[in-house]
Amino acid sequence: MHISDGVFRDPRVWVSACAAAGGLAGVLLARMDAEKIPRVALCTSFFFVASLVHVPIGPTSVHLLLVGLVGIVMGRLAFLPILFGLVLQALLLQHGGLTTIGINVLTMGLPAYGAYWLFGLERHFGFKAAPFVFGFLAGSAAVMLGLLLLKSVLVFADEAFVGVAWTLVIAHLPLVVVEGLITGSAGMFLKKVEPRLLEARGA
Amino acid sequence: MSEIIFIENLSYTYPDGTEALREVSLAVAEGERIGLVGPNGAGKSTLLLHLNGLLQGEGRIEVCGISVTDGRLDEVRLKVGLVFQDPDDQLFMPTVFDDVAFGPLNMDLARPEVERRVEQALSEVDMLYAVERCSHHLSFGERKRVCVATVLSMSPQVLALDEPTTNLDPRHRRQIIELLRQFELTTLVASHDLDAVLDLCDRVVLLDAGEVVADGPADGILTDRALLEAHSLELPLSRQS
Amino acid sequence: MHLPEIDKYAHLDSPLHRWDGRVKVACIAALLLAVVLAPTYPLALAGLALAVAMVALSRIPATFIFLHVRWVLLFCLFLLVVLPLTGGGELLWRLGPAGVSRAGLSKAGLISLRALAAVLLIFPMMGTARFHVTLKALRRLRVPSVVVQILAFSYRYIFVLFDELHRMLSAARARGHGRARRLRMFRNVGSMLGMLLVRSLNRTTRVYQAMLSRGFRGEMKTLDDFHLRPTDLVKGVLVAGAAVLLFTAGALA
Repeated sequence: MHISDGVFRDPRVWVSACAAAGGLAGVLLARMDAEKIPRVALCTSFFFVASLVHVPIGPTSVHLLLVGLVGIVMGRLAFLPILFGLVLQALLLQHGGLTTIGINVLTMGLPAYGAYWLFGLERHFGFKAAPFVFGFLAGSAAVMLGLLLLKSVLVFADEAFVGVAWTLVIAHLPLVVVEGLITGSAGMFLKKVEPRLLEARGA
Repeated sequence: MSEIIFIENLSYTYPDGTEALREVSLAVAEGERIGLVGPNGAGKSTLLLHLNGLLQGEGRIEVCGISVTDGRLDEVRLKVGLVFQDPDDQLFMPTVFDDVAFGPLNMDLARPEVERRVEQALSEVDMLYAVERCSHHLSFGERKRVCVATVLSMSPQVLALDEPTTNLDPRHRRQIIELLRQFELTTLVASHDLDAVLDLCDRVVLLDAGEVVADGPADGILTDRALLEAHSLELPLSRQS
Repeated sequence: MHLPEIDKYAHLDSPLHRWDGRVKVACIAALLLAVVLAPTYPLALAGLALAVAMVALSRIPATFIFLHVRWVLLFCLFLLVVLPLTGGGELLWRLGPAGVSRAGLSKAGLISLRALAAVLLIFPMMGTARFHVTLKALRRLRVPSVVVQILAFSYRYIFVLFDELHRMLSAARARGHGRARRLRMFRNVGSMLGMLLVRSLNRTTRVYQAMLSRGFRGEMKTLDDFHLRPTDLVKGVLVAGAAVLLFTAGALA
């Protein structure tokens, strides 16, 4: 899901994505209290460290993204930890690229809001496994949505990327399920242990 | 006025409804070293957070004659140096230098003065050798000592420490106790380590369920087996047998 | 899992290590942009050559570099396989129903050159000074203070959370969860990450209290030690000049 530097022939693609991402981050940061700085920072560290976890799938292993989980706990601010996490991944791990930060953060950050909304529906259902079910939906929908966004961007940027885009989507399908399972279990855990965190997220 | 801290009828209830402090009154004279002891959830840490106005309950609280209320928090925070239990909460900057300089820089001091204070604070806790290091490369004991330096660099009048000896091996525990004994500052130590309190403090305040249940000389309270056991504590090891 | 120590070799000595952080970051970033924009093979190769030269100059060991660029190499390898097979147009070779497209192969090759050159430039830019010094350089380059603050805090707590996660994983392994069945494993990993998240977010209150109690009033202040010397400017002119040349050549091509 991390696009490297140098992929796009037409710079307008990544320049406009960076501008859009920068604009959204700018608005969020300008409206944010200084009090929220440690929260965004710790969530960034969490996003970064969780992405170092590899889980085996078949013969290979994938690393986790957890944008859905970030969305669930951060609400309105979810875009920021994902942005800063990607910046740190590019600078510290050489994972992804610098000029493609805009594209990467839009395709992963926007679905986090979808996950937030989806998990919010959980409140209306009282059954015991509801946090797991909606966590699963939020986690897998976030990855799926991200893949579809990425596919559209790639195909929009260059017709020749059609095959690449579909291969990426198919290769990541197992991750859709894994992220769902993990986000669901994490959602269940949060609901049981620290429901306060889920209520405070919109603030 | 010789009372450096004056607390009268302080009560605090957490937003979730837990009553953490009930009508606590306490007067601390300049230069005193006081141990705050009590079982988990007795309100020790909550009380320390009030000294810096990080929590604000009902009642009256004054530090160095300044009332701890919204308008004067900046002044109060210069007077009380608060050392948190987990050094990773207190050391949030990338390097030791940046962490120790954080307070002085917020006091708008000039660069040479900031550097002088950092150097002095770190040498007082024997950590000057680590000034350029990153906090995550230090041992737990070293991080604890740097935490003390981060508040010493602000030249406080009162030192308030939350569990300064927890999770330390015997040698580092001894080091930090010796370190704190050297200071002539007014000191409040909230701790479960009653031996350390007995070593350090002249006076002990026993809290339970947010109330002061005993207040007096350390070797009076900390040798009263019945009183301690009534509040889920044990005699210090050095006073057992 | 390994710790992200991009600045592991910041203690070495090289012309890049001695270069003023502000000029270094700005000029190498400009070169990185020019490399990413290179439209032809000769220019992309020139960019890669420059990047390799700068990495060599930085004296960062090749094994370290290789370990760090494996994500990008994997990505390039993926493109080099998939793009030629799906590129269409004129075919170089036929492989049963599919074939290797000339345009696809050419495009994948060009992208790989640019991606590799760009990622190699990160090492002279970020690996030749301690990360916190680079952050201070970014602040001096007018990156907003709140952005630098968040990056600095996140960097600090990556190490704390990494240790916490490591302890949790070891504890889980000690209880025998390492051999649990697949579904059970996902559930355990989920709870573990949930636990890590709870601890991290609960820590935020205490960190903020620690900041306030040391007089924080909303603006982070730090000291830095940047001094511009003539050699810094000479290096800057060289690298920025290369960037401008590469960019102009690309615009004309």
